[in-house]
Amino acid sequence: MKSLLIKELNQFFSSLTGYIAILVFLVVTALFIFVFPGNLNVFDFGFADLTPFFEFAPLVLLFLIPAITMRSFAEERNTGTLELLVTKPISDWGIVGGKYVASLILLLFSLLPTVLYVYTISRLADPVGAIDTGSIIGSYIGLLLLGSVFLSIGLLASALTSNQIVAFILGLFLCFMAFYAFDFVSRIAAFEGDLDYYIRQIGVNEHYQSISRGVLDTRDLIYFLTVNGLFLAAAKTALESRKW
Amino acid sequence: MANRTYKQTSLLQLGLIAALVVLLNIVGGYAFKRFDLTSEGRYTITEPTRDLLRDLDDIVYLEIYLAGEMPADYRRMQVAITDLLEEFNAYTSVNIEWDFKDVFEMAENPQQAEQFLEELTEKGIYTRQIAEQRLDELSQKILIPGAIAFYKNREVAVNFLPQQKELNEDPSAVINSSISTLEYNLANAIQRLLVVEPKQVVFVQGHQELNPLEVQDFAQTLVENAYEVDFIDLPRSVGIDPTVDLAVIAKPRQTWSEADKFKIDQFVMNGGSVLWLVESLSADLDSLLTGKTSFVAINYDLNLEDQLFQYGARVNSDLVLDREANAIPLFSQGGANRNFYPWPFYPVVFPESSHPIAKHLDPIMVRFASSIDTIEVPDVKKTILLTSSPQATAWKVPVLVRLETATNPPLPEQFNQADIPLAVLLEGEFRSLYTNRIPEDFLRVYQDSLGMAFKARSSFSRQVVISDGDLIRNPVSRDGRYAELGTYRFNRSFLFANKDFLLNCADYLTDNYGIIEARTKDFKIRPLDRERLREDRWRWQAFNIVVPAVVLLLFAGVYHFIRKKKYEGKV
Repeated sequence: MKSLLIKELNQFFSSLTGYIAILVFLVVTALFIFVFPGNLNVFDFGFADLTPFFEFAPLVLLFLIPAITMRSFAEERNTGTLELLVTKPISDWGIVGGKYVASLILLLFSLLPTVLYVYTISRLADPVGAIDTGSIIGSYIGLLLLGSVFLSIGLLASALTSNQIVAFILGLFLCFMAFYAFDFVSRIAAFEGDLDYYIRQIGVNEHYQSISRGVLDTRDLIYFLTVNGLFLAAAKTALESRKW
Repeated sequence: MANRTYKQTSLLQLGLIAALVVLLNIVGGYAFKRFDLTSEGRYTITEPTRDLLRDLDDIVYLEIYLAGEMPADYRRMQVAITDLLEEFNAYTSVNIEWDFKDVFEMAENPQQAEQFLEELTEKGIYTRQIAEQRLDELSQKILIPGAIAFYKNREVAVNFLPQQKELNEDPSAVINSSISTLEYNLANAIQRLLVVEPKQVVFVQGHQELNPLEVQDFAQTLVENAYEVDFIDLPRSVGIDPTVDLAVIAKPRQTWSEADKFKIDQFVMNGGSVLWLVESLSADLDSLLTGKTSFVAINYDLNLEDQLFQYGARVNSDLVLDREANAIPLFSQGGANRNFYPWPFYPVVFPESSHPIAKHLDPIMVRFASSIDTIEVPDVKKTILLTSSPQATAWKVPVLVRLETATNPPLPEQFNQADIPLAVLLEGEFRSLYTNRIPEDFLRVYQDSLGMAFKARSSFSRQVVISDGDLIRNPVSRDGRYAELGTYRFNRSFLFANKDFLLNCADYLTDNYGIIEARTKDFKIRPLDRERLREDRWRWQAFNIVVPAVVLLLFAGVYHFIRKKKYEGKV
């Protein structure tokens, strides 16, 4: 599994697409958080608080993550290397797990430069350094958990097809659905009352919001971990479906 | 055939995992724990509020009118409201739901918006006028930082901010303290929705207390906050009914009979709360309105000293002079112009106490207050709610009150007493003033006619003693109209927090859940340094765009360099 992990990472860093995806993520985020005037601009907001960033980041991850994961199975299937991989002495769980961990590392790698934002507001705070570190750490935990769900969804999308573009679009669509759809559906008048609450609970957004504010709830943790597991299991099943 | 079983196993496995996922999430919903990661515990809901939320058995719906375009401070408030309501939802078995509604957008025309606003104001929601500077154009905008909360078939108004005191006040401080008291304001609204039985308040009359018109504004506020208000002529009543929650004694100026004292005493012994606004010296600006420039303040001789002493407080026979005081207009010596001078007899009190009654309150206006001493009484806890400034003094009776004291005040070093208590909270089990003092046959009559037994000791009960009767008095004009409590006649642009303070007293004295504890929460404001931001803005923008990109490209470069080396080495 370790060799698979290293192979995955090497593959990503050798291709231009990966760098472009991360670069676009970083530049777009910085533009919205620090330059463009509007609700997301931290400087206009006037508080040493990165809430706008954590509000905006899911939107960008929605695109970045399917871009990271799209090739993982689709390309191997396309070029026929998946057969090679499967014949190696590694279980299907190992393959899915390896690719998942590799993309988690890539996600961390992409988010790491945003620590500069924390440094920025900490330096500009009055007095210098007066930021709520605890709540920012909480928000990052939330963002990582959110990202991990997107990753497992992306992997599933990639395992379902042999076309990278299809994998990207499918991943984007599924992530979008998981993130927003339940919120939208819950607002349909027919669900007013108790039902809308439960529908919203299924969606990712509800749980992300809760952690992002700086409250770690065991229910949200369980949600993220189990949903990750579910999509990875689905990806594994999709992988096995070749043998059916 | 074999393939099909493989497929079946595979799908079965996925189905089992999915079922497990659902199960884990359901089970996890029953036993959960929340960790508040914020450094000041911003999201930790106080225990009384949690108790309250657990008692809800139907959906609470809030229509929040703080919507549309608004300055950042107000937006922060909006975010805080959402955050808090979401936090509330973690503790309710039912659900709290809300919508932000922009009244001005909902209205089809300005008239309709006007009408909406009027309706909301009638329901007790405060609006705020804010000045907006945009492209050299100064415009005014109205914001509605309030909501209507619905529960079953009831509704109450919630204000997130106190009433606007000045048009040009800096909103950030007000909003910050309001965000701190947000949990209380919302919990208070929910409590009012949940507790159907209104709290009963009586204003005691019969000893030349302030008349109903003079306390009208506060009485009205109580009614708006779901209290039921009544006035009682104590000398003509057999007593105060034990179903009454709070008795207000506002500035009595006549000697109390032992019979009336006994009625109050037994009201306290039966668990009733009392809000005393009692001063010992007769001092009133009315004495000066007739053209005189001085008068001598002497004792009222209220005959309440022993009773208050018994409960744990003594209102001294003196007047407090404070360097922090409201100004009165006077002609300067020989001058033709009227100027304003702080008059030490009119202290302005800045609440410093961290007690929920007084925390986060604006200055309070006091006129002719006496100092209060607390008395050591077993089983009674004393908390000082209001004090003078660090530079004050108390003059003993008889006090010569002169307008001239404003232009010609005592020397600064004569203000040598700090933090003189002006309002005290007493809580605990009070002992009756009349133990072993009442003849047996009277007690028998008392018991037979009222069906009540004499009680020598109260269960847990609370009282607040304030040494200024004018603190509750709203201005009354000659034609019988009253102005808002907290308006100072010589500075009408500012509203003192007297009403907020008194309402907090009433809430605290009658609160069953104890939700007022939430008023003590502190929210830290963490602003960016505007000065440095203005200077360095573009540098930080460039820094945040360029540095991550450069780091990434550097990584790419190094990575490829190493790969190439490795590759060449292999060849």
